Amino acid sequence: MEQKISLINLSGIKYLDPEKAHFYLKNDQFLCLDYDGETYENIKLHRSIPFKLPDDFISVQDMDSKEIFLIRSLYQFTPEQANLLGQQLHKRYFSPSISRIYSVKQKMGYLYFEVETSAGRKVFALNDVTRNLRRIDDGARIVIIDVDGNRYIIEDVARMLPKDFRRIEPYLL
Amino acid sequence: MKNTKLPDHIAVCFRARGVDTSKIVRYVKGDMDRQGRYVDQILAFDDKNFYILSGTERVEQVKGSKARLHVLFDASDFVERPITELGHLDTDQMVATVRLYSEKEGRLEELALASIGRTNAFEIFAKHFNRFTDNVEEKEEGPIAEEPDLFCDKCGMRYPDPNRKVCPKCISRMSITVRLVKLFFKYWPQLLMIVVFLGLTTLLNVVSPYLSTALIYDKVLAIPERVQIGEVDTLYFGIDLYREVLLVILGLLCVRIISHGLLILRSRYIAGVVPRVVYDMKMLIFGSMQRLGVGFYTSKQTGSLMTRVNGDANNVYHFFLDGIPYLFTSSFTFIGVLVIMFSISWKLTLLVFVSIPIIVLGYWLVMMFFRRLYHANWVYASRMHSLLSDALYGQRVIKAFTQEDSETERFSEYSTRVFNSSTKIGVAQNTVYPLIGLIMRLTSVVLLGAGSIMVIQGELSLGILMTFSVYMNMLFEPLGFFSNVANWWAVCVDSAQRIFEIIDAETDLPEADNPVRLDKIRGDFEVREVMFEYEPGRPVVRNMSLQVKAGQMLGIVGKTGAGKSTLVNLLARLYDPNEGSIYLDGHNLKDIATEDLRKNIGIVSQDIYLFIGSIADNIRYARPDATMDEVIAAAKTACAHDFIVKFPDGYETRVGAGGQGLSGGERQRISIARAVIQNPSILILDEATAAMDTETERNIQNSLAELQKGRTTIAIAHRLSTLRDADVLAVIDKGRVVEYGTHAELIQKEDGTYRRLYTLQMEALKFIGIGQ
Ligand SMILES: Nc1ncnc2c1ncn2[C@@H]1O[C@H](COP(=O)(O)OP(=O)(O)O)[C@@H](O)[C@H]1O
Ligand SMILES: [Mg+2]
Repeated sequence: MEQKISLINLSGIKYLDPEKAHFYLKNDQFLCLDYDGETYENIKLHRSIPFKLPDDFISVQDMDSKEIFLIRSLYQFTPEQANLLGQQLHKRYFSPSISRIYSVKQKMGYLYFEVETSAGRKVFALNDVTRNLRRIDDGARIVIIDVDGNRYIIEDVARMLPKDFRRIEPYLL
Repeated sequence: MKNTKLPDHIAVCFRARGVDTSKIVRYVKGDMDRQGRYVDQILAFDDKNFYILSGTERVEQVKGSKARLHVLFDASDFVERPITELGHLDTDQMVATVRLYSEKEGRLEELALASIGRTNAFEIFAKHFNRFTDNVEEKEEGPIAEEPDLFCDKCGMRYPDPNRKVCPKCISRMSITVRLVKLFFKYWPQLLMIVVFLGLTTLLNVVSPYLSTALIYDKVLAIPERVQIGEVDTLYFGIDLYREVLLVILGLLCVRIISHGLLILRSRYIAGVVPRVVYDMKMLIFGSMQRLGVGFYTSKQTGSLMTRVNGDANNVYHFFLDGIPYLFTSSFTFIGVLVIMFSISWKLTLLVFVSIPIIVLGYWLVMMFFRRLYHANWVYASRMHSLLSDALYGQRVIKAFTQEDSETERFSEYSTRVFNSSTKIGVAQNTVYPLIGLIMRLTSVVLLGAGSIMVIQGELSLGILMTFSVYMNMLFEPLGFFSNVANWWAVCVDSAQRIFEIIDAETDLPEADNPVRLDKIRGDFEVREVMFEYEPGRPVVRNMSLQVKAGQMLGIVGKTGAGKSTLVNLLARLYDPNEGSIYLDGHNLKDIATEDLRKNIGIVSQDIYLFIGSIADNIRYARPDATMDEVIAAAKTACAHDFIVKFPDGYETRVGAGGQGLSGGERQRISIARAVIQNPSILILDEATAAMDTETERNIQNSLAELQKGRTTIAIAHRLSTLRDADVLAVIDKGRVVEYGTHAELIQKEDGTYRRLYTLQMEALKFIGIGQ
């Protein structure tokens, strides 16, 4: 235990104290932070563990992508603040969840998907399935990254329609 | 693609809203609304206004023509704003999205959101907007790169490879077939020979039942008939009858001997032809693999590549050398037999026909089903292979972290999958095929019944019925093969698709059509506005421009991950820039013959790869004809000679996977020797001495200094003392050149990075008592 604490001290991580922090939006969509009398404008949020712990270990970075604080967990905040941060993260980590898979075709080494997502219907291509179709959370969740770098999530493989599941089954490992 | 003229279907929507589309300066396509839902968007501006049109783009088939498509845009929202309200446009790249925002007098405003793949297009659009509205400080930035044409005209899908305007989705299986046929077309004489052999055999096969059954039963053994027409005598004396028997038997023997003779000839012929075709085919694939860019190997798993090459090549040539000829003869047999059957008895033939659709349907279902199973099986197997090769290479790491059990578990999980899917295939095959066989047997039983009735009624002779039944089995035989061929064909197309992937992937770093041949390269580099990304949307080198004059030395410093190695890899054309160009001696790098480039650029890279072989072989890798004197001289220059001769096997020590272990510094020195012997005009050293002690490094420096005379040298180093001879220095940060100049210039810069680094290192040296 002692060892761990000293490691954190050593690393110079600055955990954000929710008591002192106030996040707010400026000009509609630009996140700002008042902290301990200081104001940080146009800050960015990054998830450290985006799939397993999307609400924990949030890195708060300034305009030059330098970390100013680390948020231990969104649950430390008031619902209203947590909501604001959650929305910002959602927007940055835009990854629609796939509800239906209409077709999966393999052509010339590329996989073509036609799916229904939480953001609407979409057709996309994957190149190199091994890297771009990943199972996480012990295989329950699937992340798909298309040729443009867009991310799509299948929230729970077990809850998919059987025929949809059969379409992607060969590519899952 | 120049985004200056709106496509017609979009222009219509703009005009309907009172916009003069001829005035549109620039437009860009977006794919999302600001709430993050997929819509199709057009952002555009003219001299007065900024427009955002949202809606859905649809592709429709033109009525009455299957191939012609036309595109429609159903607009749902339209926003129009005076451009004076907007300031400087910029993009903000988020993790999975990008937003376009305007900044006017410190006020930020979000204009549009899009998925990350649009980042580049949005950046270009913003640059044009800024230039147009004079909202740009650095006006003399030079031309703005154009957005590459990334979308297929036919289906609107993104091309997976921007260098190739080929849409895999619109390439049909037919076109793979056509390519395959072309590939094999040069073997047409051989194929033709095989088909001729098979054709003759088939012809004999089709004729022989008639000889063996109908003739014997009805002509020779039809005793009662012969009695009736008064040939009984002959029977008693036996002369005519025996002659006929003899003739028929002799005829049959001839047919058998000829057809077996043909079979032997054919097999011998195929045995002679196949290895050559196989060899050609593998050379084609390996040849392509040699030409592939590094990018191909870093993005594909080696295991899956290796299973591909061998297995897939086998699949394809077997199909063409066994499958196609057999398909030909089977069809021939099928039609021939059918004609004969019809001429014997159309009634019975129709009866047989009832079962054919059932059998064919059965086979068709099987084919659809097996194609999926086979594919799944292939995917599992190739992943298992890649895991295996991973584990073999990473054995030391696995052991160091005592992960053997978890690795074994992972492997066993995968191999279980392979096992299960193989079992599935086996079980399915063994269920479906006997079922189809059953249908065939049933048909022949029914046929026998119906035929017997016809014989009793005198419509048919016994011999004809027997012949007919033989023919019916011949008719069913190719049916079985047809099913197999479909299966086989599926596997072949699957394999061909992957082979073509390898063959096509060469376009990764395409050689120019008319490459510039440079015998002697001076080494004048110019990097102009280069952007490069390994993964879409995450540029590693951005808007980089710099120059190196022939014979000069450029030193590159910067943090880890700044993009230094990437930059030198671009200079050596191991990758091509996504945007901008690199010029060498005034020629675009892409236009220079790859061979000349490889010969003239020596690179000592950060991660050194030693091939399996002797140290000497590794050193003369770039010039296999180098003499041993040269090898030793090179090793001496690289300060490698002394440690090499200490090995019991000297220069013949085997290195690489499974060979003698070498330290990092030793590998680096071998790698330097490799570059020295190549005698290139351009020398690239990527932290080439980082793993060596200071003294060795200094020694190498001194010998390299000699070597560098008259050569362009680009060196990356963390220890600034390594770069003491550099004519110019570039400090790189986050993919950009932040400082550029001579040591003297950079050291003058107050709070410059170089100055800070230099002071830090000098102090450290003073601290340990080495500094001056
Ligand atoms: N093959 C690759 N695929 C994806 N990203 C890569 C690859 N090689 C390097 N990168 C990324 O590119 C960036 C720059 O890497 P590199 O040029 O090796 O930096 P440097 O040599 O300055 O340390 C790093 O962020 C690294 O993660
Ligand atoms: Mg590097």
